[in-house]
Amino acid sequence: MHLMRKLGSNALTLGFSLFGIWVIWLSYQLDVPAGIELGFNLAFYPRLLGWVIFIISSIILVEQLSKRVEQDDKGTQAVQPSRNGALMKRMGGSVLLIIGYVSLISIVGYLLLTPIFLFAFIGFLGNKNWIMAIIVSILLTSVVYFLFWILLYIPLPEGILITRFF
Amino acid sequence: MDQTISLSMIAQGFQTMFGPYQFLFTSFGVVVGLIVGVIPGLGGLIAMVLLIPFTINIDPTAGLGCLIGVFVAGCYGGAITSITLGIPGSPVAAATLLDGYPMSKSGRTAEAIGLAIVSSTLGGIFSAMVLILGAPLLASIALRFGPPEFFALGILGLATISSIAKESTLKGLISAAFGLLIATVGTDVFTGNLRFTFDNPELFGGIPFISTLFGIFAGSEILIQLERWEMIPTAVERLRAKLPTLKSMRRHAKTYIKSSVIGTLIGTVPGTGGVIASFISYGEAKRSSKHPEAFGKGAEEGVIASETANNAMVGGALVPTLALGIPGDAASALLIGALMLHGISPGPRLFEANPELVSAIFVGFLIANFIMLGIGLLMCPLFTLVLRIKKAYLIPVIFLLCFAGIYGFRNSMFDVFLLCLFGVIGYGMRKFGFPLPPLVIAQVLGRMIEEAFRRSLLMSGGNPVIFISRPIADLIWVLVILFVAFPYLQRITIFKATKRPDGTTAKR
Repeated sequence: MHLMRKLGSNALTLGFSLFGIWVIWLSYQLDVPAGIELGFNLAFYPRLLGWVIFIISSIILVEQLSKRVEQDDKGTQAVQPSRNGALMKRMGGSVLLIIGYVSLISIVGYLLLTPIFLFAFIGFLGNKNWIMAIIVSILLTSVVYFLFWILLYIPLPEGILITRFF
Repeated sequence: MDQTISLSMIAQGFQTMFGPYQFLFTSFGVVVGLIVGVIPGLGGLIAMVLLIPFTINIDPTAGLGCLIGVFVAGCYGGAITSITLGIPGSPVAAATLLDGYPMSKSGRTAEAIGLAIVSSTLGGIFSAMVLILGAPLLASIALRFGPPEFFALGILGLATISSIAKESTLKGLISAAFGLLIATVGTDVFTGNLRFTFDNPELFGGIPFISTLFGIFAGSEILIQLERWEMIPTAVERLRAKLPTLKSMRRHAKTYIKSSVIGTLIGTVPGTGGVIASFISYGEAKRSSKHPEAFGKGAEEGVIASETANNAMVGGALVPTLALGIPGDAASALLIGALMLHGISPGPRLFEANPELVSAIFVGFLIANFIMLGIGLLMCPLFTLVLRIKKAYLIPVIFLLCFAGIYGFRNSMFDVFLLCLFGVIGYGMRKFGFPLPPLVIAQVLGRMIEEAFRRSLLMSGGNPVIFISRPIADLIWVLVILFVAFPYLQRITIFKATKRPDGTTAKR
């Protein structure tokens, strides 16, 4: 378990290092006229930040790699993951449901897709009371629709299907 | 110009905030803050995030009243969970748990809840007074600052919040630098050229603060809640509050006053926040108590000290937020973000340009505390139901509110994509000890810091010595160095203290 955490932490820190390098590279691609005053140079400030991220993350990475054994003993992390099949299924399934909802909403529309999505999501998360799940899904969709679209005039996706056929 | 807010301005603030619209939205904010604050793990910050979209399209005073209501009530809401379940509803209520839960276990739940709400209200009112008197004063001093001072001040804000990062200051600094970089995306204000937009028109105006905010806090929270599935016990007795008697309040007057002062003072230091305020206040109450042995076993003073300080912190945090435009913590950063979404720039000039709004914020904060007292008492039985809400319902609700809020902001699916992206980034950062508040605060401060940085260089003809050649800026830089070095100095001191004569270190 500690090994997984350590690998994750190292991967994220390495990701920040690479991100820093990428930003430095990107800053050199920006269109900056030669001999321009430093205050007008739009690349200088982000480049500086890129270096800051690269240097600090490299220090952290070296620190993490050199304190391998000690950290294994401590096992201190912000979040204690419970690595089991149910957890992977719950997180993976939820993420897939969310990706599906976000991908389809522009086509199907908020009013049609949201109650189905909510019902599926609530059911997937282990709720056995189907009637309550249906009521909550419809009620929640309506409340959010009312709050956003009717009360605050904030539009929600209508969907190509609805606009084409109705 | 005289920066003090006159009595007539405060009276006008009362008139504004007692308008039906403003009062209703402030009360709505308090209700949402209480409900979400009670739900373990969520807290007032998530409530503020979820409510931001609702406040964009309404009058700024009503919108800010709503967010301030959430800010104030969220702190208290967490105490209910600490007292009844023995798990902090939000981090700021962690110290309340130490004595609140033992009180509850010995059958004094109603008493503990009553103490918590009265302490929170008194702490909040005290800090509102300090805010009304202190913020204009600080703003008048800050009017003398130039770009080098503002640059140093911005860095100070980031350094303090990074230095208190749980695992390491360096991780806090990375988080802050990442936030500053996010703020560089979009059209450059000095030249009008595009930067890091990858020819995507959705990025020409920059990465919206609201997308980062929702992703980093709410998006990552959904993943964290999915991960910590079995942690919440749901069997809770019917709750009610029993207010402390005047005699009891007189007996603990010293603790109320001391904790209010501690909470407010700590709140004014950027980056500290309610957790530190409540624990320091708790420690002080225990140290100066005649019965320190009672602490941790259900001492009333423990609950009073923690709850008074964590609500007093809110007013303290608003002082640098409004006067300097430097947020004290993530919640203050949200308020600044909300002001910016209304096209208002916080900072010393706000007191000159929009004194009506400033006085409305002051009064809004004051009355939010009174509303919290009333609604908090009335809603007590409802908290029993809130604590019984299953995660299977809660998580889809949070997601739906996030989706609708983000999509509605610009009618953009790209923003929804950003929400998901930052949700994953935020989850990874939380999991591996990279603190999130520096990122959000840095994004809020990003434009100001870059502008101050480049204006300073323009003033000096590109000579960086300008940053250290002015006395006020120098003073601020010394503070920056102290804050960054503090955790390391502390570590060296601890190492020396635990070093054995044979050279090995004792385990702590």
